[in-house]
Amino acid sequence: MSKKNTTASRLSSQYQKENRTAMVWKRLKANRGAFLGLIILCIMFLLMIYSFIFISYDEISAIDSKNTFQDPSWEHPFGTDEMGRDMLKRTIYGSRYSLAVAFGAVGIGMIIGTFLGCIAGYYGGWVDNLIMRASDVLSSLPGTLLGMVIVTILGAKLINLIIAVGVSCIAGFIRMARASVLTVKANEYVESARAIGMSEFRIIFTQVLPNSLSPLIVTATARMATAVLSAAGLSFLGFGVPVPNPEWGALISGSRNYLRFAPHLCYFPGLFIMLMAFSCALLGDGLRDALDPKLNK
Amino acid sequence: MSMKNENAVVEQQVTELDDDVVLDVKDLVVQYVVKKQVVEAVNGISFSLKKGKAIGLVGETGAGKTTTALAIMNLVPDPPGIIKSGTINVCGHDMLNLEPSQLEKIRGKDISMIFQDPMTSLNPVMTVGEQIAESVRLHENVNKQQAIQRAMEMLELVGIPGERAIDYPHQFSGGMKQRVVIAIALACNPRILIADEPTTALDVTIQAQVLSMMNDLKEKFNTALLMITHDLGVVAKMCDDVAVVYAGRVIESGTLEDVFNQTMHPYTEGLFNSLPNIGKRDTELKPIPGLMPDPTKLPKVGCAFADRCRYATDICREKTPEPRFVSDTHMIACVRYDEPDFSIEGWQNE
Amino acid sequence: MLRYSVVRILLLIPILLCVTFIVYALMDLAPGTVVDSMITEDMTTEDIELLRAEYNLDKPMIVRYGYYIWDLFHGDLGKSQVTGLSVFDQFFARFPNTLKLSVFSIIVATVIAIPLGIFNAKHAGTIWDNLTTALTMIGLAMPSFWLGLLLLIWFSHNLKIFPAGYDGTWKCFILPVFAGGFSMSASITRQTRSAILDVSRQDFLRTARAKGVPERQVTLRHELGNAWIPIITQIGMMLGITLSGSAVIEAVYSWPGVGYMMVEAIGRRDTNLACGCVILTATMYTLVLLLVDLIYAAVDPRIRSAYARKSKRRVKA
Repeated sequence: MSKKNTTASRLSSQYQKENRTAMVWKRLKANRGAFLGLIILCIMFLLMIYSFIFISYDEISAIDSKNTFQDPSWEHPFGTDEMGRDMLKRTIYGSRYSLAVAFGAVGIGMIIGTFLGCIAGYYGGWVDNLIMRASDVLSSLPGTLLGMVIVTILGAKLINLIIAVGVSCIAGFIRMARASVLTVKANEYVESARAIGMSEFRIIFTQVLPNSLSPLIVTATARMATAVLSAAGLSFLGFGVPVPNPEWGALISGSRNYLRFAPHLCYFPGLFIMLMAFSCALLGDGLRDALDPKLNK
Repeated sequence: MSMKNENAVVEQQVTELDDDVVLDVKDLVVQYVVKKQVVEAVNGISFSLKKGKAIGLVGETGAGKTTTALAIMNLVPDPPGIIKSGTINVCGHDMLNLEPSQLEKIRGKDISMIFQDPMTSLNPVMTVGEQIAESVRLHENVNKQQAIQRAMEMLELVGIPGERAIDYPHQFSGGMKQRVVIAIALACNPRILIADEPTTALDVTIQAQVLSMMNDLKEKFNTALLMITHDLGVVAKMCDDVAVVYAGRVIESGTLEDVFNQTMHPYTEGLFNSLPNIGKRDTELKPIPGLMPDPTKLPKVGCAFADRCRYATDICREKTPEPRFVSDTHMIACVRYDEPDFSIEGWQNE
Repeated sequence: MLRYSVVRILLLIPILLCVTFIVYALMDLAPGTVVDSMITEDMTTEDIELLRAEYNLDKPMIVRYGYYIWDLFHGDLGKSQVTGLSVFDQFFARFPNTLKLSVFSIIVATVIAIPLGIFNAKHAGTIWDNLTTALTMIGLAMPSFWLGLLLLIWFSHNLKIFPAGYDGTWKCFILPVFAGGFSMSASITRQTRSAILDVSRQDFLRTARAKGVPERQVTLRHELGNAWIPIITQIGMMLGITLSGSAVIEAVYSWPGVGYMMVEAIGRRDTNLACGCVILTATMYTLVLLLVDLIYAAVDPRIRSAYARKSKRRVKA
């Protein structure tokens, strides 16, 4: 009897899931902004793949002293920098850092933050108190500040930049996950899972988490935009990917000495940072609308 | 004309009405357009209300009662709502052809409205005193101090100590909140009060208190009342006239006596049969089968009630019922009465 | 209410202690010490040891943290290991510049954003709303340092209207205020729009309209009155972030504020200065967030009475 019931409920939840995915996808497509965001993000991915295959590090760091500070032209669409390096290639090469930060940092923040938040929300009591106070401490440090300190300690490397930005996302995810777990926990199916003797951990990860997923996905996507921006800011200040790697923030930082006669060095990398953040923000907005059950039109 | 209005434009729009009639609704049609689907909420409702009298608008949820009330205030949310046609006359003002600034002068002053859910009808960040005084300040030439004074008097009138004027809505219970809402509505002594299910959200004992208080205030200020409800008991207690609404149309109307004791429309009969009778516990409830038709898919011709009506014949689905007066006051809209010997069983009165 | 505020401020102390410890420990973990940069070729090992002892570097970290906190309670954050000046003095010499910049930015951003947000909410779905929404998206996505540099190129280098850096006149504020304020303005606009839209579905607006309140007053008193909390949260967060020194904007305009000083201090391993700056700005940030919490009570009577209940319970306990 109970077996039959579970099968039936699994079937129905499977059905609901497929139905829901299809519906979310339909709504996302209908949202022009979100679709645009998705397209820009895909283009960024393609550029990154292109750069992995066709642009070698030697190529973008080769010095060409005859062609320094070239204005944009057909040969060099984004111009060349103070060492005659092609800015288009350098900018495309830089897409990997930005994408790595966007997904890496938010991934770190989301995994750690969600894990802690789920535990805090599910167990409550002193566990909750401890985790939430820790998150209070974490969030009473402004993000840039924390990032600078962490990069200083760990050293200026891409992975450390990712960790630095990731750590400053954690507190937000803890609060987010905790809140949705508290909401979901009150539901009856969690109660019944406990009644049939499921272990606490299994309940969290099979019952509670999947049902609080959509706000997490929305937050994560929106958070990617800020991650891209703060990583670029940190690199701009010299706390990120070390020069001569063509990280976009670092490229802008490098252009500062030549603003008067070669502003193109500043224009293009900035435009790419903006597009990257813009696409994540648009996608996050679109997902929020698409996943919002209240907007069931 | 009793109106003394300095505004010349308003003066022009004052139309001749029977001296006693304060509210007159004619052929009102209201639709909501949601994603190219047309919800036909109100499909030609007409009724009128005399000074100091009370009329009850009765019907199921979704029959178009609230939309009618909002249309009278010209507060139908637009979009998605559109008042397609009809006229609404409130104390001589043509409500559907007034500038917003003129409407604002009429709302709260000539006509007020009480809403269904007192829990959400009050602004949570203003004291109740401020909310009553706001209305007084808008419509009467008084200063802030006098307005607050008046607010406190109004609170006393609805049975709340005046010093609670400085409290916020969350400090009141549901019944108390509804009293506050009533105080707001009556603050400027309006000639018409629309009450949209004023007691549905309250406990039964509180319901009775609030209703009898409303009745007293109505007598005291000689306010005309439009009572919207699905509760026939409330109508019997409060109203002089009744209009039964189904799918956006008035299907039977008349005096309380006409509709309650000489029920003629099958739907009205069904409503009465759905009431449990405490006196005769062994009698079976006879609910009306089925549900209200989907207001986006109302039949183009024929009676909207036909599918649920136990007297329905083919002609009910072919011919749209027209209002028919069986006496000076009693109106019904049912095609079966074309047959001279048709009658309904009537509901089991005690 | 007062009691609640005091309790909240007292609760800040452990949090700030944790923050100082984390910052101190982290800075201590960083490779390299301030002594490294003072070592010269002709110093013997003993000289170096002496130098290390002078800076207490021979003692374990926890002991040094103890000294540090002890001094902190006496209002002494130590001396900069590079310039030899008091950290406290150095910080507060520069703080007014940061304060002015962030307060101006936030005021300008708010004054633009709130009316715009209300307007967009009132015209939700129209072309104008869509355009502004797109613009706010761009505002959110644009790196502020990049916008700062663009403004610098156009208005300072090319048009020569505004100075490129701090010169004490009102003119030098325009570019940084705009560069920093644009994204703030964008996010406050978005927040206002969604807060007003949320409120606009509430029943009490119908009550207000039914008693003849003019539409303008419905919006300003009833809708905005109930939409303040998310808007204030957003403004408070922005203020907190910029008060802690918008390092990137200060770097772009060579602004003599605390943000850029901090960046330099961290870069030079000036542990005392960096640590002091981080602790002071974190304190500022936390205080602003606390202020926001207290403002909640001012705009929402429900929160006010919840506070009253809480402190009453505390008194009983």
